[in-house]
Amino acid sequence: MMINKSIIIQFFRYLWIALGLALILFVVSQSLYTKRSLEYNLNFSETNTKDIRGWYPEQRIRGSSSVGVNNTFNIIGEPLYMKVYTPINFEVMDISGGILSSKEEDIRIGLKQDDGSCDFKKLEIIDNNFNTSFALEDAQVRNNQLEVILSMPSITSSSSVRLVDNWKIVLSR
Amino acid sequence: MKIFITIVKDFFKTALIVWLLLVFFELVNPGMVQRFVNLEIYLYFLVLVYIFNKIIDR
Repeated sequence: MMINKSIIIQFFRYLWIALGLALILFVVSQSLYTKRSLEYNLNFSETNTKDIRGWYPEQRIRGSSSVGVNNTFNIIGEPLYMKVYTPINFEVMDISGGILSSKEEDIRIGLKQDDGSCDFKKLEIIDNNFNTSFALEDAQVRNNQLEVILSMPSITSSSSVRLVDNWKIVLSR
Repeated sequence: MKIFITIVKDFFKTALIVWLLLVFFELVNPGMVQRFVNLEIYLYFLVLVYIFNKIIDR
């Protein structure tokens, strides 16, 4: 009987240790990144994932119709923010995706910098698609996250700007 | 009952050590742990286990 007790206690003791170690190893392994680039395919319908948080505030964006295989999201206010997790220090961030607008809008994407300012770039939309890139040398990385800002200073209540749910962010070094 | 008490005690000790290690990792590399594990909820869970442990140990 005593042996059985001891075996049960030992079994659970090692089980707890194994579970603890597994959790620690999982967390550590997820934070190690050895590849040259990291690609995120954004999903605007999920505003809070482990890698991407945004767009927020959620009241400023609303899911609407679909174009082809992609959903589109109506922008009803600005600016919109997004946080992108970066496990290591990358040098360049490329953002590409689709934007549909009823007229030619002044749409800018910014990246928060170390000094608190924002490095804004006006988007050149060709065939409802854009592609832009940012150098990450002076970008603010807080809690291993980059902050992206989408701004449309000229947006009015009559404007119709829709983000196509096919955006891609590529971090590379 | 004694077996159960010992198992809960072992669980608490291991969970506490794991929590401390995770907090250390989070401090060294912010965001690394919180992406997967909510350390605050983990702490509340530890407190509950500790209380449970004290109750059954009487």
